[in-house]
Amino acid sequence: MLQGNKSYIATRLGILADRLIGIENYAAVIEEDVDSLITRITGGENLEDFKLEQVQNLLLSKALQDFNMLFRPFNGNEKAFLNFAVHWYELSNLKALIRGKFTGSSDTSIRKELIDLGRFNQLPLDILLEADDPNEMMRLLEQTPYSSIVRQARDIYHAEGQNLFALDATIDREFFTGLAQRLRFLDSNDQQHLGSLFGKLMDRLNILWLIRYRFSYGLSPAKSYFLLSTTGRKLHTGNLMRLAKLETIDDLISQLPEPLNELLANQLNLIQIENIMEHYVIEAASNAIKHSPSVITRLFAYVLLRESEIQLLHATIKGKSLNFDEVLIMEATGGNVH
Amino acid sequence: MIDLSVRMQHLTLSMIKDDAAKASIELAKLETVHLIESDLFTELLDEKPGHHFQQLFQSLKRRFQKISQYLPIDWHSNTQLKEPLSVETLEHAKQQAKDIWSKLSLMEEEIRSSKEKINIKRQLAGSLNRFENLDIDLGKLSHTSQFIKVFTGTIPSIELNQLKRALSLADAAIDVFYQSDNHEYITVITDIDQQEDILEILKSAGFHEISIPPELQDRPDKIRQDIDRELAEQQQLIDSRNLEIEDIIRQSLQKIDFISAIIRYAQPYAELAGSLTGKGNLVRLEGWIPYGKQQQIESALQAKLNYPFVMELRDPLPNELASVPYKEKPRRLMQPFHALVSQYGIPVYGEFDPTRFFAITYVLMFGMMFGDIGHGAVIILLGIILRKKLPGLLIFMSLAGLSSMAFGWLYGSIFGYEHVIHPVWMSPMEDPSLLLVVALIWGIGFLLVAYLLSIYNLIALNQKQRALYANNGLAGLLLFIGAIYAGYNYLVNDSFGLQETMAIMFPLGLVLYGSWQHLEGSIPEKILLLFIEALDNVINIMSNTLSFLRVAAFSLNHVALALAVFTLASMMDTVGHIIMILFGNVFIIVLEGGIVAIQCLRLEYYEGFSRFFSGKGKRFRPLKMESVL
Repeated sequence: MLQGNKSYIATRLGILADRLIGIENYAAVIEEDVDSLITRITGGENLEDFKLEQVQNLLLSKALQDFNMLFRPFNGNEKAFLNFAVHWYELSNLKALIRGKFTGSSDTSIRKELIDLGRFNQLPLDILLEADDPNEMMRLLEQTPYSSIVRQARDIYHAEGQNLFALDATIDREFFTGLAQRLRFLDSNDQQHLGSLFGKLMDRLNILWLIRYRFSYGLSPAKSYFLLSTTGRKLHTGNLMRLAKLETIDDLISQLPEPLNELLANQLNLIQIENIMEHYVIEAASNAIKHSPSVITRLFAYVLLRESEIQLLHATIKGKSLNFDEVLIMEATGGNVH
Repeated sequence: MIDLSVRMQHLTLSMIKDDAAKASIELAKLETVHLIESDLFTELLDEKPGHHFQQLFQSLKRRFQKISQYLPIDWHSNTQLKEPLSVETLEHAKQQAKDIWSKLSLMEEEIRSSKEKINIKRQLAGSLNRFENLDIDLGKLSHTSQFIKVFTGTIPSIELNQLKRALSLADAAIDVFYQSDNHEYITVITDIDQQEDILEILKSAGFHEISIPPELQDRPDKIRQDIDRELAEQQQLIDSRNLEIEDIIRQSLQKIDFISAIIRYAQPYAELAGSLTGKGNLVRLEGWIPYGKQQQIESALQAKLNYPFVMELRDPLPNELASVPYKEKPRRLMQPFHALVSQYGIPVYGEFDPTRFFAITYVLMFGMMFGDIGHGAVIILLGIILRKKLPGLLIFMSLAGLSSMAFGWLYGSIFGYEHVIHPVWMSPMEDPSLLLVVALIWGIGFLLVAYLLSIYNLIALNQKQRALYANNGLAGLLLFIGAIYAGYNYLVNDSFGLQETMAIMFPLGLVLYGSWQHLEGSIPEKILLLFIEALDNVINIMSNTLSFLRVAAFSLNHVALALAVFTLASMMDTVGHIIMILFGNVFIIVLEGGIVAIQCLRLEYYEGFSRFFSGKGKRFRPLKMESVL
């Protein structure tokens, strides 16, 4: 990448990063009323026409526009990594489609769950929605970049009980393995800095998934371990295998490597664990966006922070419009941790 | 001056909702209405009466498209419908299409499944060659006893390490006994109590079990026979499913024909539905029609509609010119040139259509740059030979060829020979400087016309301020004339005084004044931008004018290439000489002819069109009946 392009990205990134809601302000945002939150999203325009269902799509489409602008000067392996990272959002479309078709939901209700990803969209959503049965949809999926999950989707569809979470796990695992593979093609300096942030993200996901698989879904240690994604910064293969064999959440947390065991000490509630781990990643991303010498690491940090902001605003507006208690919203969004 | 385009009128048609479908078919048959989405009375007419119909139609069409891939290539629907189409008819057709597609989809799924099995069996057959050399008892690979279960099969190589570690947690043993390109052939041995859990993990890893029949367990050659038999069975299954598909299609042809007719007849209303607004029983549509078609539309609707309707017509308003569609008058001679103009853009309604200007200047420049009687004749001949395959090329190549011949006659050039016939004017090599001057004068003339056309277009599109001050408006024209005047005096008379300076600075000041009105930002920023713009304007005038020197350069190049061919030919014997002259001429016609054609296009687009032609118009696309197949 040319030095001029790097300076351009750094400047644009600096401007966009300044507009992010800092983690220290999450609690204050949750205390705002719905109108002021919507004004934050729309910039005060067309408030009368605004519908609450649009919140997520609007937040995402604005974020994607910014990502598009930031990614444009990149090419080769760097662009491949960044574009692949943004396809994370498409996985929710993929899961909604498969779940909807498997459970016989109407096209209208499936469509409501889909997110418009603009140029980042790889799935031919209209064509897939038009599929008359799951078998047809899976044949169509075979012609998309997500063909690798089709075989397992078929096994699950034809099996009794249709264990959809296993499919979700496979989809996530494929994604993060793919992202880790693309990370390995970056230059060594970027790999080092980005690897550290990516590792923390994987630690967060692997802890949460391991707890879910073992203690919520009751899977065996072997199966739980197999469904986990690529290894993280603190949780290496050996750690994960050892943790998968433990029988209680308490044991699992106490056996985590430092500083994870201290962070999660005495936490048995999955939501709290999730919030603390999210905070762990957000803090790392906030640090990277300010200080990392690698531009691509700062960009990836921006993607993570923007995603967290989208979740915060979406959940807060949704919660408030359903008249949920602020304390509850605070707990659900992690505002109390931040 | 929009003489190449058809004059348009705005149509508003208000009618009773029940008549909308009939009206759509009549309007589609006439192919005269370009529909637009109405933005008038949107609060009053807030219903979209055709929305459900439109959605149903899209869904039916997509389903039909899925079925249509199985139809014979020469199949087409002939069914004519008399009754107007209702939502119920569409729903009925959609259900019929769904029934047909469900049967086809089932067959397709079985074919897919058989193909997958064939792939797996083929992989297994391939690996059996290796098994024979391994000298192992295949029976042991699929053993189930009272205490242990053995799984044998393949997994993608990428899953191997994770799987090995996961299985170690369950105390299951795994062994890789063969590796192919991206698959591992594995045997997993586990405690019988854990077999379900292990199988789940294996499935997550993309495991394909290799089933080995008990009677063939120790005989790879027999396994191969078995595989061959299974392959044949699966292929038979595929063949029989394909026959069943043909059967389903044959039995459903009548229904398919009916569905296809429904789509054809529903298509105009579905398209129209997007533009339809209404309230209760009243619906209204808006569009553009060619001037003079009112009577035809009125008569057709009167003959078919059950209820009264109201048609309102008016000329386009000045502020809506950009949204009026453009329809060119059919002129055969201009057709190929129109296609090239369309590649750049469609004229905005009211804008000068550059097709005729393009045709004349293009043909002239081509001739000037590629002047040769013989080569021009070959180009015409090629146009005649290719007329059936590429009919549009005949006129284009004939005119270009004729121009080339005319200039060849002026240059005295025939197949590169410069001394066979006497030039009416002169050979390009005789006085290259004169040719460069002629090209420059041509360029100045071309750009002057372009400026005038630009001023005309800006006035026609109601941009009077820009027509006065823009760099492609009157101020730009004065700047161009001033720059040419100053340049001429400097180069010819060696004088550049106050008069020349003022000739440039006064119009430049006007251009910059025009820009100042539109610039945003602080005063220093605006001054900086104006300085850059002033520099840009002066440089552009110079580069645009000098760009036309290529007209002379290519005519010189043409002679130089011919000279090169003759020099090479002169080094050879008689046969070689003839071959060299022949191939040399072919080379000149194909390569240089192609380059000249592109260079002319470049001059037209970049020096001409970019100055005066917006190309942002919309093509007239009338509502019409479209064939489904």
